[in-house]
Amino acid sequence: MRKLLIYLKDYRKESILGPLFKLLEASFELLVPIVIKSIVDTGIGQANKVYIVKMCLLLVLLGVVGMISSITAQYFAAKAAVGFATKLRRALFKHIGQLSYTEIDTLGTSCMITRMTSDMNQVQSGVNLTLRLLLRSPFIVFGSMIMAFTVDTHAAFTFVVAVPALFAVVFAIMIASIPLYKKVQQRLDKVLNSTRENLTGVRVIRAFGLEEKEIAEFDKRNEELTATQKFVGGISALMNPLTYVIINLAIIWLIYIGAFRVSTGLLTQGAVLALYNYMSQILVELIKFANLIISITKAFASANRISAVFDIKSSLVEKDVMPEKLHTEYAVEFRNVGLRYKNAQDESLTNINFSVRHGEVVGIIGGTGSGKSSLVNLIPRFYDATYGEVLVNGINVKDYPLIVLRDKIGIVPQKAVLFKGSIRDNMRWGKKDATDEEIMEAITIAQAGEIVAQKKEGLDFIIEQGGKNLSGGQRQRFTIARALVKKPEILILDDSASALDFATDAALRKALREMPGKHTIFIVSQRTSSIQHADIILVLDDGQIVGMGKHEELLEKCDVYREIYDSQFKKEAK
Amino acid sequence: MKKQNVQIDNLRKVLKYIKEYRILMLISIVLATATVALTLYVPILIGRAIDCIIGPGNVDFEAISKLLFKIGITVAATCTLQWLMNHINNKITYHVVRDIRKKAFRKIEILPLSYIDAHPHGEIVSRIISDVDQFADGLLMGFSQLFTGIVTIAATFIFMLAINVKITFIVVILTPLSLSLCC
Repeated sequence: MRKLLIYLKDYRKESILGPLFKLLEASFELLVPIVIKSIVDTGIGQANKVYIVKMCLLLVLLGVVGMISSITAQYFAAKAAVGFATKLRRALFKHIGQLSYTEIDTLGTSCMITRMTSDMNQVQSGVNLTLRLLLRSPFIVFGSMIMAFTVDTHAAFTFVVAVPALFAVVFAIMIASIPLYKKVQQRLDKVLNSTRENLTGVRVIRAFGLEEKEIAEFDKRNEELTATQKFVGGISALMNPLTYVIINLAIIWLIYIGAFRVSTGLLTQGAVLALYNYMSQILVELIKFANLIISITKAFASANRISAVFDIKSSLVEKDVMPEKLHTEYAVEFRNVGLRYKNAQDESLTNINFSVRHGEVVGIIGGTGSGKSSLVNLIPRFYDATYGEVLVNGINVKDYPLIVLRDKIGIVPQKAVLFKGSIRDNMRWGKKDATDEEIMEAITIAQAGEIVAQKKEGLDFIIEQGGKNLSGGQRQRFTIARALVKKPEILILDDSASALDFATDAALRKALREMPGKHTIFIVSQRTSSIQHADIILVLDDGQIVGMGKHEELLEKCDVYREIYDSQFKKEAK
Repeated sequence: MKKQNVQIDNLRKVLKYIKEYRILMLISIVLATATVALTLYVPILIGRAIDCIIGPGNVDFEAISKLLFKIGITVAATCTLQWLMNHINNKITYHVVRDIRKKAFRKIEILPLSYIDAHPHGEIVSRIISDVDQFADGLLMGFSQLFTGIVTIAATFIFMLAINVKITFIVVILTPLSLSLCC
C-alpha cells in the first residue's frame, strides 16, 4: 500500500486542503447546537423576536458557509483521488505491458482486468473517503465532547464515559470481525476452487462418475462458508443496537442530571438541548465512521492486490544497448533449445537445433500440442528459452532491446485478433505512418484486396470489436496484412491461414515468396499442402524435431511426416 | 419489450429462491417497520422531557422520570428488535446465496460439455461466486435498506405533521438542499 502512495505525491496540496476544508465544515456544524441554545434561552425565553430572526439567519449563514467548505473539500478530495487512480492505472497498465507471456499466463487475463477496474475503483473511492471523512468523524466526536464542556463541565462528564464506551464497542466489533472476514474469504476461495475444478476436470469427473461425491464436497464447503458468514454477520449485527443503547442511556442520564441542574439554576433549558444535540451528533458520526472503516478496509485489500501485481517482475531481463551488428548467413538459429512452461511438469520443447538462412521459407508441421507455436513464440521472445540459445541475425534474442527485436519480426498469431476501428487503423499497428499505398500493398499480398474492394468505404470500413463483422478467413487475411505492413525481416505465420481455402492459401504463399526484399518466413501449419514447398520443413512431435529437410526427403525418411501427408493427401483426394 | 420480459422472467426466478423464506421476510418487514417507528418515537419523548425542564424551580420531575422510563423501555425494545431484524436479514441473505450456489453447482455437473468448452471457466466461476454475492448484496440488502429508508421517510413525515404542519412543509422544501451537504 505504501508503495502505491507515491502516486498521490503530486496531489499533496489537494490531500491537505481536502481534509482541511472538511474540518472547517465540521467546525461550523459543531457551532449549530450552541446557536440553537441561544435561540431557546435568549430568544424564546425572553420572547425576543429580533434575536430569534438574527440567530436563524446566523444558522443559515453557517449552513451556507459549511456547504461551500464541504463542496470545496469534495472538489480537492475528488481531484486527488481521481488523479491518483489515473496515475496508478497508467502505471499498472504499463507494468502489465512489460510482463512476459510467462507472467501473463500465471496471472490470468480476468485477474488483471479485475485489478485494473474494480480494484482500482475501490482504491479510488477509498482515497476519496479517507481524505474527506477519516479525520472528520473523530473531529466531530471529540469536538462535540469539548463543546459539551463549554456548555456544562458537570454534565460533560457523561460524554467522557459514553465516547470511550462507544469507541470500545465499535473497535471490539471491528477487531473481532476483520479476521473473520478473512476467514470468509478463505472459505469462499474453497467454494471457488471446487467450482473451478469441476469445470476444468469435468471430463474426468464424469468419466469416473464422481458427480455425487463432488456435489457432497461442494455442499460441505458451501455450508461452512454460510456458517462463517452468519457468524460474522451476527457479530456485525450487534454494532447498531449496542451503540444505540449506549447513546440513549447517555441521553437519559444527561436529561436526568440536566433536570436537577436546571431546577437549581445551574443550567438553562437550551443548554440541556445543546447537550442532547451533541450526543446525537456523535451517534450519527459513529455510524458513518464504522462504514468508513469498512470501505477503507476493502480499499486496503484492493490496494494490496494491485501492489502484488506491481511486485511481479518480468522474467524478461531487457538489454537497452543495441548489440553490434553482425553479418551472418543465418537469420534465425536455435542452438539446443528447450522450453518448459512455468508450473508445467514436462518440457514443451526439447533439444531443438536448426538454422535458417536469410530469405528462406521454413515450414513447421506437427500434430496438436507438438510444440509448433511454442517454438515460434521463442523468436520474438514472448517466452525465454529454459535452456539453449535462440539467435536472430547471429545475436542472442536476450541481447536485443525488445523493441528492436520485435520490430524485425512480424508475427501473425493463431487467433486472428482485430481491434475496433477502420481497416486503415488496424493496418497501422505495425507502422504508425504507413501510407495507403503501403497498406494496399500489404493487403494485396495477404489476398485481402478483394475484401477491401467490396467495401464501399474501402480502407475506412469500420471493423467491429474483435472483428465480429468479418468472417474467419477475412480476419486471418487482415491479420497477415497487418504483419506485412511493417515489412518485417522475419515473418511468422502461426497457423494463420487455417481458415483459408486451398486456392487462397496457395495464392498467399506465392505472393509472399514474390515479395520484394529478403524476408525469412516461418509457416506453421497442420496441413502438408501449406508447407510442402518450403525450403526447410521441421517436423515436430512431442516437442522434438523428428524430421528436417525438404518435402521429398521427408516423405522418404520421416515416418511422422509421411503419416501426416498420407492422411491428408488421401482425404484431399476424396 | 423482449428484454423487459426476460428481466421479469429473471425476477420471477429470483423470487422463487426467496419464497422459501417468505415467513422470515414478512417478520423482517414487520420488525423493520417497528424499529423505524420506535426509533422515531424516541426523539419525540426526549423533546417532551426537555419541555418539562423550563427553568429554576420550574421542573416537572414526576413527568420527566415517567418519560425517561418510557424512553428507556422504547430504546431497549428498539435495540432488541433491530438486533433480531439484523439476524433475520443475515439469515435470509446467506441462505439464499447458499441455495443458489447449491443449485448452480448441481447444474454444472449436468451441463453439456459443449457449453463448458465454449464458455471460459473463469466466466462461469465468476457467475457462481461473485455475481451471486453481488446479487445478495444488491437485491436483498438493497431491499432491506430501501424498505427501512422509505418507512423512515414516511414515518418522519407523519410524526412531523403531528407536531407542526407549517414547519413540516418548510423541512420538505429544504431537504433536497441539505442532501448536497450531507455527502
